[in-house]
Amino acid sequence: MSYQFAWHPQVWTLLAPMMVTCGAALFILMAELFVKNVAWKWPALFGLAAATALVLARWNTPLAQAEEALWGALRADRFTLFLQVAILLAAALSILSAHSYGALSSTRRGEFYVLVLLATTGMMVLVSAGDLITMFLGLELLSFPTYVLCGFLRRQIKSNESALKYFVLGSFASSIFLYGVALVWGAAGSTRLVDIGAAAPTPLLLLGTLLLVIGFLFKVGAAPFHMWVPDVYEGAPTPVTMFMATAVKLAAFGAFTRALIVAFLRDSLPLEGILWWLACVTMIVGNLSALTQVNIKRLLAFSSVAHAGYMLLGLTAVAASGSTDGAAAVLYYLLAYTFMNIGAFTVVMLLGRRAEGGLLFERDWSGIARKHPILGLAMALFMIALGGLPPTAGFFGKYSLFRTAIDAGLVSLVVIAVLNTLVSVYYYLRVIVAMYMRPEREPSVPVLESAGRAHAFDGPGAMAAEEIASAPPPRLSERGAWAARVVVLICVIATLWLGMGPSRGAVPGMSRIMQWAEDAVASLR
Amino acid sequence: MVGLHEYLILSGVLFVIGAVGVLTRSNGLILFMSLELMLNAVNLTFVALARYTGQLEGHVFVFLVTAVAAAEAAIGLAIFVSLFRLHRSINVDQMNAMGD
Amino acid sequence: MGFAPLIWLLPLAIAVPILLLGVQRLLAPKAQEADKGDPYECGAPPIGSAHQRLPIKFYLVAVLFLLFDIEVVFLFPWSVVFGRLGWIGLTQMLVFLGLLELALVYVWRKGALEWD
Repeated sequence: MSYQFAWHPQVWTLLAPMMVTCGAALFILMAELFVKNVAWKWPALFGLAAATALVLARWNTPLAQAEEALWGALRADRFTLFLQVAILLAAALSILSAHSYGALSSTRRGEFYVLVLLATTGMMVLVSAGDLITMFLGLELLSFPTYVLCGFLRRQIKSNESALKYFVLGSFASSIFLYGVALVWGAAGSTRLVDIGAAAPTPLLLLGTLLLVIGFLFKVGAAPFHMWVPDVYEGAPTPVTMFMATAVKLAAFGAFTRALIVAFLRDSLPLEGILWWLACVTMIVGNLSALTQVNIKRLLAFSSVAHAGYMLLGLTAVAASGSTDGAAAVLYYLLAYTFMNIGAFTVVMLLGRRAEGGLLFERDWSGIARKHPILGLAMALFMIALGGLPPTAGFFGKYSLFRTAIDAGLVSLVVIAVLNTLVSVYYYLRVIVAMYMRPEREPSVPVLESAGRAHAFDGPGAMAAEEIASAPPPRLSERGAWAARVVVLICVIATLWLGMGPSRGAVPGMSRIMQWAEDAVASLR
Repeated sequence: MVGLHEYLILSGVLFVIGAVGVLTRSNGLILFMSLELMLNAVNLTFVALARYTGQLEGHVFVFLVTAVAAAEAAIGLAIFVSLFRLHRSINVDQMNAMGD
Repeated sequence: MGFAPLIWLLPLAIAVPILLLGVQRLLAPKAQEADKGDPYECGAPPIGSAHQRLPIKFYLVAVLFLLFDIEVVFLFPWSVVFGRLGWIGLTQMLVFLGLLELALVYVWRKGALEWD
C-alpha cells in the first residue's frame, strides 16, 4: 500500500488557528526562560487575536478538500468557526481579567499564559473534531493544562485541592469517555462521527454511546456528575474559574452537540428519554443546591450546573423533534452565558479584594454597592441576566431555549425549567439584596479562609500550615485593575446587547447572531 | 478457545475494578493506579477489537492512549507532590478545605 | 523450520540451574550468623529501616523519565515504515522530536535536572 499524504493548501488554513495558539504558547514558554520581566499577556493576547483573525478569514469558505485531506479528523464548518471564535473570546477575556489578579499576573508567571493558550488549542481541536479519537485528543489537551491552572497557586491548600479533585474526576471522566470510544469503534468499525451515524444499532454501540455521554456530562458538569464543580470552582484562582466555567463549557457542550447531532441522535438509540431526565435533574439539583450557598464562587458554581441543565433542555428538544433549532438556541445561550459569567466572576474578583478571602457575599459584601457603585451595578446586571430576566442576554437566551422546547412538545419539561428559573431568581436576588440593602460592614481585616483552616489542621503538617498562614495573601494589584474593569465593561455591553431586540431585528446586527448560530448548526448535517 | 468476548469481558471487569478503586480508595497513589488501570482496560479493548476485526487503527489508538496516559501520570504525580508539600499526606479523605 | 531448536533448548535451560543449585547445596559450607539476615546495602552496615520515605526529588526524576520514555513510543512504528513515508514522514517526526526537545530545554533551564 502506498501511503498518500494529501496536503492541500486548505489543510494549512484549517490548522492555522490552532498552530498559532499552540505556537504562541511555545514561544512564551521558551522566551520566558531567557527574558525576564516581560508582560507576557501581550504576546498571549496577540496570539489569540491572530488566531481569531485566521478563523474569521475562513468564515465564508465552504467545506472543501481540506477536510478530505485530514480523513475527516477535523471539520472546519460554520459550527466550528462559531465556537472557535467564542472560545478565543472567552480565553482573551479571562487573560485580560487575570491581569488584575496579582498572584497570576506577576511578570515571572509566563506559564499561566502558556497553559491558557494550550487549553485553548485543545478546545479548538475539540469543537472541530469530526472523529472520536481527535475528540479525545482535544479533550485531553483541554483538560491537562486546566488541571494545572487550578493548582496554580502552589502555596494555597485550596488551590491544590481543587487541582487534585479536578484531576481525579476529570481523568475518571476521560477514561469513561475513552472506553466509550473503544466500544463505539468496535461496534461501528470507524471512529468518524459520520460513519457512526450510519452504523447499525447494536447493544455494543448503545453501551459505548452511553459511556461517551457520561464522559461529556462530567466535563460540562451536569448532574448527577457535577459533584466536582463546586469544590473545583471554589478552590481555583478566580480567573481560572471563569475560564473553566465559560471556555471549557463552550468546548465541551459544542463537541457534545456535534456528536449528538451527527452521530448519536437517531430513532434506534433511545437517547431522548435519557436527555430528558438529565436536563430535569441537572436543573433541579443545580438550583436547589445554589439556594443555600453563602460563598459567591460556590453559588456561581451551582448556577453553572443549573445552566448546563437549561442547555441540556435545548439538546432534548433536538432529540425530541429532530429539528436543529434547539441546538442553535444552545449555541446562542452558550455565548450569552459566557459574557454573563465572565462579567460576574470578574466583579467577584474585584470585589473580593483579597484573592481567596472575602467571598462570603452576605457577610463581606453587605452594602458594598455604596462603596463601589459601578461594580455593584454591573454585578446586579449580571445576576439579573443569569436569572434570566429582561432586558438581558439571559432572558432572550432562555426564551429561545424554552420556545424551541415547546415547539418540540416538551411542555412538562419547560414548566419544570420555568419553575427552576423562578427559584434561581431568588438566590441571584440575594446577592443584590446583600450588596444594596444591608448596612455597610465595618472595615476589618478579612480572615483568609484557607489560613483559618490551616490552623485548625493539626498533625505532622502543622509546621507547613503555619508557614502558609503567615505568607502574605496574594493581593489584587491596583495598578492592573484597569484590565478587569475593561472586561466588566465589555461584558456589560455584550449582555445588554445580546438581550435587546431579539430576532425581530429591533437592534441592527442583533438578529445576525441568532442567524449565525442557526447557520452553524445547519452546517453540521 | 479464547475469543473476542472473553477479552471484552476481561477488559470490562478490569475497567470496573479501576472505576470502583477511584471511587472508594482514599490513598492518592492507589487512586492513581486505579485510573491507570481504567486506561489500560481500554487499551485491552482496543487491541482485542483490532485483532478481531483486522483493523490496524486499534493498535494506533493504543499508542496514542499510552502517550496520553503518560502525560496524565506526570501531571497527576506533580499535583500529588505539590499537595504533599502542604498537607504532608496524600490521603484524599483529608482534603476538606472547601465548602463553607 | 523456525522455532524447533528453541524447544531443544528448553530441557537444557531447566537442567542447568537445577544442577548448579544442587552442586552448590552439596559443596558450600553452611554457617548461620545474624549478619546473614540483614539487607544488603553495598557492604555497609545497614542503618535504620528500609521503609523510609524517599526524597521528593526522586519523584521529579521519575516523572521526567516517564514522559520522555513514553513519548519515544511513537518512534517505533515510525521507524518500521520510515522508507515509505519519505520526506514528509521525516519532517513530521522531526517536528515531534523538536517539540520534545523544547520541553527538555524548558526542564533544563528551570533547573529541574539539578540534583541539589
